This record gives sequence, structure tokens and C-alpha cells, in this order.
Amino acid sequence: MLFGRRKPGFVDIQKADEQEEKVAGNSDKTEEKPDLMGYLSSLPDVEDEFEDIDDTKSSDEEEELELTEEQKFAEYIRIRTKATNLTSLTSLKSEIENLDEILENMKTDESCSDIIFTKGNKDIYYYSSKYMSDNYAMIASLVEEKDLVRTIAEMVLFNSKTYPAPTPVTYFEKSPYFATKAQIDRALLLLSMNEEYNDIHHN
Amino acid sequence: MATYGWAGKILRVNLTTGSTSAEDSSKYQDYIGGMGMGYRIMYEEVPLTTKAYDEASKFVMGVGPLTATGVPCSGRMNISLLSSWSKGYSIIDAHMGGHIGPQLKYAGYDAVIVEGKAASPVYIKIDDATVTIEDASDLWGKGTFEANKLLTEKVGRTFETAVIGPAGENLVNYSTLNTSFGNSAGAGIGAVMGSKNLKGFAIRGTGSVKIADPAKLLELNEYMLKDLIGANNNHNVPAVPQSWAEYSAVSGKNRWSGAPGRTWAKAEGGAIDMGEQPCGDINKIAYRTLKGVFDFGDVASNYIIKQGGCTSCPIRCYTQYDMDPLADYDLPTKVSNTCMPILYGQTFYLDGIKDFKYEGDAKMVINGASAHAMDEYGVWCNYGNIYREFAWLFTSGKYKEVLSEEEYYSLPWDWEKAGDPRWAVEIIRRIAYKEGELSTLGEGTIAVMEKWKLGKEWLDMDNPLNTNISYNGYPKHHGPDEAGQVSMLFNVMYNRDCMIHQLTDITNSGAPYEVSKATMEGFFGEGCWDKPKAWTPMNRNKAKLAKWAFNGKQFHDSATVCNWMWPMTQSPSKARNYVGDLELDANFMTAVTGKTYTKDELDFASERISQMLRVMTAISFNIHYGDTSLRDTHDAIPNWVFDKEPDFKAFEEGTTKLDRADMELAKDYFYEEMGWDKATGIPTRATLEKFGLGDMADDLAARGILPQ
Repeated sequence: MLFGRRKPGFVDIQKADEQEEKVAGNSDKTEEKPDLMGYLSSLPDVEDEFEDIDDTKSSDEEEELELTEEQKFAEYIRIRTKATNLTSLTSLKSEIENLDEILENMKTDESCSDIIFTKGNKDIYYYSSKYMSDNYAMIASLVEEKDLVRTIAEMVLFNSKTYPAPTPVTYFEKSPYFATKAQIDRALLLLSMNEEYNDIHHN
Repeated sequence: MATYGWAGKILRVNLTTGSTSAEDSSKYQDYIGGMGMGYRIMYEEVPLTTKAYDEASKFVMGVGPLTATGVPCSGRMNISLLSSWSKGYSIIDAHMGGHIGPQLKYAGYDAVIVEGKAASPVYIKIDDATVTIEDASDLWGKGTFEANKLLTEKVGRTFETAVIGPAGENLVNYSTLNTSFGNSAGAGIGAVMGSKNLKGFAIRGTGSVKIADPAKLLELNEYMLKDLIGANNNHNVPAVPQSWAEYSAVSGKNRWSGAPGRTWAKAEGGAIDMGEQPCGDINKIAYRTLKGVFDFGDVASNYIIKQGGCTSCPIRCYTQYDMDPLADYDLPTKVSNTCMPILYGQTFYLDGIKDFKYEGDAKMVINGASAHAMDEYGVWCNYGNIYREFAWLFTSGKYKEVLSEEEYYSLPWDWEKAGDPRWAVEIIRRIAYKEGELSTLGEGTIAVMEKWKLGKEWLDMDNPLNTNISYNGYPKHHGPDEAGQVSMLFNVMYNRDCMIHQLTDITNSGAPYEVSKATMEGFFGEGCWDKPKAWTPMNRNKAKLAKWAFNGKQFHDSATVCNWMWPMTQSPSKARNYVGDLELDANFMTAVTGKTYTKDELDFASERISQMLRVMTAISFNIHYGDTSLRDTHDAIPNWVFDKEPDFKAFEEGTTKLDRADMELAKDYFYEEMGWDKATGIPTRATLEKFGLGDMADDLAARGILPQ
């Protein structure tokens, strides 16, 4: 987890974890309830919000074989994006040998057009524009680089220009920044001593 | 006879004779329902010379064609009554959410007319078509929570109940009707019921509402929930950044307050994280609004059990708390509320308040005690005036003149100084039981002004504790500080605080100004939507916008749908450029009733209700003060609106003050839009005839106040 955060959810966190464990240990549990499955199958189709994360595909080798390397890569980025995570170029390079080739081939694959990147100061970060907004990706890259001084400066400028509105310091205590008051105070002190940011005022 | 949308019957209960009867409601369909139906019935049956507590006084509880149909946010009920406390003693409304309005509809009624006076305490039991007047002597004198509980035990849990508290019984003007969930209708309905020896209602409806086009209704529902609805007050961007969202409220404070890391910490089975709630994901809409955190900050999470809400509403705006520190004071810890009763309790504490268990929890816990007491005793706050006037009484020193030494020292000041929650409870109790001069606060702003000889200038003063927006006894309700002249105009149109949320929903949505401006100008034309604290002079499009908001409110309370949520002006959807859909109200009306409504036709029907309000207001002011014009009387604006922030001139960036001459121009434009005489602000005959209200024009003519 690049952000060190739990995947957000609307269920009880502890219970969700427990449930995941149970499901992992009892993958054939659904077979014990044929009547329920029969009933569910008889219902009209509804939109499945998780259809893009179809974990049953892992056992469907034929279907998997149909995906190109680029498409599998894109799917991986989408899954991480859905969990509100960016994926850094550095981390990808450490895990995928032919990354450059994949990235090059992706440019011509229409089905991967939602996979884009944002440039941070320290790295490049990939995400799916289908599940993450560009503005959030910018915010997430700032958080990822753990430079609170720059994060405050960039966001104050962004908010002043976009809304336009002043940014309360408490803004940085909340998701996705989760900075402590002490961290913010220190960052503000450093920011006030940096001439590069002398257009940012604090009162 | 039931038709699509409307239940088809009006129930009439005469408490003097003990008779009940049902009447056909179809003749009132032009008035939509709820407020519109209530106004027409009140006009036809209750002369405006009647006093609110007279036996001849009546009140009308009404629902509308959309109530309980499954249309999102359609659980509201409107109550029309005569005011006992605002200048003019004219027609006003109380409103409540919860589940009791839908039960009334399911029981087969569009409205209940209550008239007469019972010889002893009673409640009205509506069990579908079986209506009885039952003895309530065992409930009389009890607080609303206990009385609702006892009544529920008596009639069964399948009934919805609502009762008045001691304030209503004691004819305190500021009194409410309450359910046990924290839903309350204010404006003095408690005392009007109390004057009739009516403790409350128990209602069970087992019927249904007929829908003309169920498939279309379902389609519209899905469209609204996926593409249009936001959070509470239809705020359309989250309060803190969420990965799917392009924007968030930079202040960190809007009503889309559910966010990753924010929890219902006291939820059964363990804390529940709100996570992200993307636009289009209808199963997470209910996690968008974490009202307690909006009201009190992140510390509130520690006490939140869950969010509750009304029938058919995916926006759960009633925070349900377990405020365990209150147990140390032998006060109830379970509190649920969403609005004024839980926001200003700290104002009772002149020496400040102190934290209880967590850093920053003082305001919330004090308000928990205060809100519970307001509901238990059935006291209404007049959108905060009761708190502001209490604080003013003591901070101004006026208490030395109006309170006797004996009364002053009878107050438990040690509780006040200690920040003890029982202080707030005791103040509210005294008001509910009319104990001492202090209880004048419960009689209303006008009563306070007159009894304590404060003069009209008291309402003019530039002081944070004075937000009176007219000289009629009620405060601004999202006033000119939010949308300049536009909100100033509709703030003075009623005989109570306006309760209009259409524009504050935009102002405080958190979306970038340019985004909201594009939406508003797209709907209402160039120049209608100013930057915050940077008002421009009045123009015609602002008058059109004010008219839309004013008439829209009447539709919401007549249909009935929630005015906090409706209309769908903005959207959280980037694909829609954040633009909502103002046709949706009419489309829902068409799907439900089978009658074809265009937006213009629905606006017209809603405006008919505005015209009735204006006529009845003009008649009341003529009866009580001999006024022949509303412009400089009912619609007069206190000086503070123009004189505040003396370092600024009106229209300078940084101020929300208004300009006197410009506001007179605003009235000109608005009156013209409404078809009212510019000199008097009273509807012309041509206008009233256009709406089929010729009898009202005749009435005005007979009184000599119909504009020539």
C-alpha cells in the first residue's frame, strides 16, 4: 500500500477483514447454498460495481490468455486506483522487467487509454482516469512524496486559483493528508522561511 | 376518491363535538397539497380576525401528491396554522420530517383539518379509515419522549405518534409537535394544539399510494440517485478530497461530511468507516452525510451511533448520538437531531463551556443536553432567536431591569459557571412552564420587544445577537449574507423565518464559484449569481432567481418533498458539468399523478400558493394595523442589514451589507415579477384572476386594499 491506508469501505473495518479471511478459507462456501444461488440467478441482471475486479477470472486461464501484457498491466493499475492508490513508476520498474515495452505498446491500445500518469517531484505516478480524478491524483502524488511543505504550498495555490478560497490549516489534518498538528506547524514554519513561497500568507 | 398521487380524502376532526368525517380532496388539487391545500382551507374556513388559540381557530396537517410515493426525500408533512407570535398574526406553516406524514397518506388522507376544542385532554387516533378521539389525560403533563413512548405502548408499535410537550400544554407561543425521533414541527403548533386540549396523534396507514407510471417513477428515481443527488442540502462535492471527485470543499466544512477515516464510532458491532461515496454509487449515498461532524468537527465521531432520517430519504441527516458524559448529570444520553435545537445550546452559557471527555467535545455535549430538553419540553427556538435573546438579555445588562432579584438569584448560576449541562435544561424548563419573567423569551421576539419596552430600534441594532430580518419577529434564515438581494427578498416574504434552502445549497456546496455560477447563469441568466461577499447591483435575473426560490419552497411544502434537498440544481457528476436538472420536479409529478406537468406549469401552480400567502398577509396586516401596503410595513428591512461592517461600502468586495436604494429597486423588480403592485406589494386583480383567485381579489377590494 503506497499510502499506508486501508482500502476505504463502508463496512465495519474489523468485520470486513474477518470476512475476507473467512471467504479465503471457504472458497466453496457458496456451493452449500444452491437454493440461494438459484434464486439469485433467476433475478434480472443489475449493474455490478465490482465487475471490473472480477477475481474469478484468475481461474479462467483461457480468458486470461486473451489479455495482452498491456491490458493486464492496465487492469492492475485500475484495481489499485479503485483502492485510491497511485502506482509509482519506481515500484513498477522494480517488479516488471519489460515495463518500457509495455508502456510503449499501451499508447496504441485504445482499451488502455484510461491509464495515465501525473508527474511528482520524485516520481511518476500511474492511475486510471476512470476511477480517479486528475485533481485527486495530483493531491495523492503530493501525499505520496511526503513533503508537507510543498504539499501545503501547492494546495494553497491550487485552492486559491480553483475555488477561489483560502485553505485552513486543518484541511491538512483530514483525508488524504492526515497530517498531525505538530507536522503542520513545523511545515508552516519551514514554509515561512522559504522565499520560493513568499506569496503564501498565513494568518 | 383516490387518484394517482393524491390519497383523495381530507379528514375533518371536530374536537368540540367529537365528530369526525372524510371529505373529497380533489377540489384542492390545483393547490397541489400540503401547504397549498392548507392555505386554501384556512382562508376559506378561518377568518383572519381569529386568534391562534380561539376555539374557532383551526390547523391543517397536510401531505401532498409526492409524499410517500418513493420519490427520494418525500417524507415531509406541512402544518398550516395562524401565528400566535409574529407580527400580523397571519398564516404560517410548521413542517416535520420522519414517518408520520407518510403514515397519514397510507391511511388514505391528504390532509387533516382539526377544529374546535376538546373538554379534556385527548389524542386523535387514525387507524386507516377508523378515526377516534381518545382520552389523553394520562399523557398530559408529560414530556414528548415519555408521552410518545406511552402512546406507542398504548396503540402499538405499528403506529407513528407525535405529541406536544409541556410548552404546548402551557400555551407557550414558541412550542412544537414532536415525534420520538427528534422530528419536530415548530412555529407554535404545540400551543395551538394545547389550546384545543389535543396532546397528539397516533397514525397507522396500511394502504398505498397509487402511481400512474411506476416504471417511469423507478427510472426517474434511479436517474436522480445516480446522477443528481449529493449529500445533505444537496451539497455536490465532498467536504474532503475523495479519489473520484475533482473538487472538495476547501474549508473542509460542507454537509458531504462522510469521508475515509470518519466513523460511527459507537455503531452496534463496532466502528463503521464512511469511506468514499462516489457519484453514481447509490448504495453509499447514506454515508455521505455525517451531520454530527459537520456540526461539531471530528470529535463528534466518538459519540455517533449512526445517521437516521425520514421515509424515502437516502440522505440520513439525523445524527443519533450516545453522549455518555451526560449520564454523570442524570440526563439522557441518547440524542438525535439535525438542526437548530442541537446547534446553539452553548449560547446559554455566558461564561463559556468546558470539554467533557475529549478535546473539543464541550459544544456537542452541551447541545446534546439542550436539544433533548428542547424536544422533551416541546420548546421551539424560532431559528435561534430564543438563544440569541437570552444571551443579549444578560450581556446587555437588560436583565437588571426586567428580572427581579429573587428570580435572578433563583437561577442555578453555579451550573452556568461550571458549564454544567443542567443549566441549559433548567432555562428551557422555565420557558416551557412559563416560570418567571425570563420565560417571556418563549412568547416571541415581538413579545420580548414590547414587554421589555425595547423599541423598534432593538431590531435595527448591528449586533451578532440580532439577526432579525424584518420587524415581524423572525430572524434571517440563510439571509443576505449568502446570496445578497436575492435571499434578502425571500427572507421577508413569510410570516416566520423563510426556511428556504435552494440558494444556501449552492452558496455552501463547496464547488468552485465559477462552476456554480455557470450552472446558475445557465438556468437564470447572466448576472444572477454573485461571488461570495462581492455583491453586484440588483438586476432582473436576480429577481427571477428570487421568485424561483420563493415559489419553489411552496412546491416543496405542498408536494411534499424536502426543501433542504430539493430541487436538484447542482449535481456531483463531472460528466454533467455539475449541472442539475430543474425539470425533475415536474417529471416526478407527471409520473406519479398521471397529469402532465411541465416545469412552467408546476412553477405556475406553486406561484398560486405564493399569491395566497401574500393576500392573507395583506389582509392580516390590514386587520391588525390598518395597513394598506406591505412594502414599508411587512417588507421593511431593519437598519443593520445596511449599516453593518461600517468600514465597507455596499458592493465592495469583502462585505455582505446591502444598499438601501438598491434594495428598493430589488423590491420593484421582485414585485413586478410576482405581479404585485409596486407601491404596495399587494397582488393586483389581474394577477389573482390569472391564478383563479378572483375571490381573494374581491376580498381585498372589499377591504379597500386591492391595488388600483
